[in-house]
Amino acid sequence: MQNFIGNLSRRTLFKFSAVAGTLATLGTSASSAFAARVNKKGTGKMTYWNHFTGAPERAAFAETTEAFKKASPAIEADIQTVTNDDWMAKYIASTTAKSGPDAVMIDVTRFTDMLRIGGLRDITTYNKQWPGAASVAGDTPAFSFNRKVYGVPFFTFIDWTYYRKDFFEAAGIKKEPTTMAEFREAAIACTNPSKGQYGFAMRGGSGGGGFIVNALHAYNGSIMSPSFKATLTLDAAVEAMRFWVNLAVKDKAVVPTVATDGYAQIFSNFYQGKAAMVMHHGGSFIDVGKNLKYGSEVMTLARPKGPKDQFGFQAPLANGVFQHTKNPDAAFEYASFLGSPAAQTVFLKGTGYFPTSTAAASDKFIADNRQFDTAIASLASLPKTYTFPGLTAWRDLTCLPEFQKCLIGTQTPEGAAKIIVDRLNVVAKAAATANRKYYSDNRGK
Amino acid sequence: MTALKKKRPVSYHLVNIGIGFLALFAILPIIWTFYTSLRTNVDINKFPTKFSFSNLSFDAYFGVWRDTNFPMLIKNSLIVSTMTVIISLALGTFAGYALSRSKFRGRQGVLLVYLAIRLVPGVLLLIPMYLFMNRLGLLDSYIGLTLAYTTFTLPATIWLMKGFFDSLPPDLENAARIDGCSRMGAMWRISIPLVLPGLAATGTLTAITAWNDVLFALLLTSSDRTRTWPVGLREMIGEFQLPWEALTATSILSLLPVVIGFALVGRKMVAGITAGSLKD
Repeated sequence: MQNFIGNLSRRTLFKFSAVAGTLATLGTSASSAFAARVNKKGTGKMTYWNHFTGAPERAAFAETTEAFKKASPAIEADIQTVTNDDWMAKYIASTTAKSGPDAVMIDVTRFTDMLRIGGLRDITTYNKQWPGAASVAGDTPAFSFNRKVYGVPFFTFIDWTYYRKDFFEAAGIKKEPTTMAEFREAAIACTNPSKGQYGFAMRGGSGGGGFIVNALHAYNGSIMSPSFKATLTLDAAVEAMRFWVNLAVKDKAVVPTVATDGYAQIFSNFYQGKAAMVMHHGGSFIDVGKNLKYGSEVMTLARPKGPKDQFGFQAPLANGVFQHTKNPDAAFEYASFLGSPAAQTVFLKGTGYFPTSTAAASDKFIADNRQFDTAIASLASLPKTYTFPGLTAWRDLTCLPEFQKCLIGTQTPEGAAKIIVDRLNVVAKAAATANRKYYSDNRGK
Repeated sequence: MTALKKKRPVSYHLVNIGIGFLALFAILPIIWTFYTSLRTNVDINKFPTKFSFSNLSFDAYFGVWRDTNFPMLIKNSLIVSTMTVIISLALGTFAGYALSRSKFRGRQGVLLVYLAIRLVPGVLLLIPMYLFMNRLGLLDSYIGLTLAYTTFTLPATIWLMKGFFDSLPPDLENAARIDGCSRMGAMWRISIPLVLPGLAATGTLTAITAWNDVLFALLLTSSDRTRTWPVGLREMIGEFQLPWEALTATSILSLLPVVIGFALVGRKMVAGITAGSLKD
């Protein structure tokens, strides 16, 4: 060793110093990178807004909050509810006031609107450091924009159809309908107006606009490109509107009060035996089970396939961090806790909401419950729902009223389709313009 | 007595039958709501529905009391309504008295401004009100909600109270002042006791406005600590549930404070509303 040191030339010494320095720098940065991989533990009060007001959801939130208290005792979580109908008004007000909750629920159909209003915080760094991110990675892109993550997926609503098994047997239907043509035939076969019985409880009142979007997508394929270019053709829209309107107007296979039927009415009709089928998603799973017996009275069925795609969507739901929070660490800790398999399993058992976590999706509750087979099968075939600026306004203020006019005979499916396509083009142009502005405003941020 | 009854014309009985039908028409939905609240959800959803007295229970009422924040929501509503009534009546009575008795330049203008405030739709003020309350740190607080309600109830209170004071002859107060009362003393000892029915009527109308509001309560409160009853009822309707028995039970429960309140001040309120309608 002494010889080695004694024989060191100045050049060799410099070489060793350079290598040692580089290794030291790399080591330091590696150790600091390792340290940064762990999110900072949150402390203090954290307020969370969600729009779930039903008793099963409240109970599930109570249970998960207790579990969160044990997992993160330094955080005092305050879970607050805002009714779904009033959600955007309150969100806009709190974003404008730069004062609101710390964490917020994000429905995927509202994601782009909530992002552009400016109330969602970029959580990409948090998400990268969160060990559970891989488990919900399948749905994370639905809450990402411009390569930035804004939400931790919580669970996903999978569209499906409930049908009365006894009605199908009485009508002699042996094979579950898989296409829209078969769905129509089944609805007609189950219709018997003299008994006050119809094939389908169609939603033509509040919330009915979503089914028009379903029909347009099933006949056209994607109606909006990722760069906000409307891709809905008039021919496809006409076919879609003809199918959906004629099911009520010509086939008379739907409950006659369709034009005013919202969620409460279609499910009342279904429970009361006035309709053989009703379309919804897994969110109503528990409520249906309280009124009808799964297996003997009611079954689930995948949404039918249209000429271009399935008649339905997967709509994930996430939790994000409010832009103006003073406690982002605690907010992300709570949002990521709800994204964990443990919390998602509590919600699955309490509400039937399908988890986004791959670990939670393999829970015994799902494996033992045959009704979820439909959801598992649909996961592979159902497209993700749309989320573009102006979607909800176009859906509820153009699609639904035009459909309702068709039902009462003041509009034709062709006329309605033209207005729907025209308005979608207007919405797409506005969305593209808003998108360019958003990009230019946020360039470099 | 029997002879008297026989003499009554047919029209008398027809009118009574008509009134009976109207009363039934008004009360039947409440009876049906109460009946539904005693049934099970499965029974409610049966078609055709059967009118049966078997399997009736108060389970829904116990469930609402146990599983929701019903007592807290009712308490919050009572606190906010009471505070709104107190502030509105206190300010409205003085303002109404001043506008009734004092003659000053711009008096009509002041009254018109109050009327204009009353005419502005509440929904237009939602966002500004939220921002304002946020700046004051009064979001999600009783006082914030009370002040928001007072903004809308005060103009009506002032107009109503001015009307009641106008109906009193000023000579009564003048006599009291000759006997040594100050203006405030005359108002307190002479005028206020005479407008008590008016105060009761105005207070009841104010309380009903505050009790029934959903719009401002939804926006300005977010926690169960301050949330009022109508918001709680609205939230009870889950997105994907139809708990008819719980909803009807809570509807009946929410009627009770209003019915009790009206029973207590109803007579005074009617007297107040009709005060001054007859000439002496």
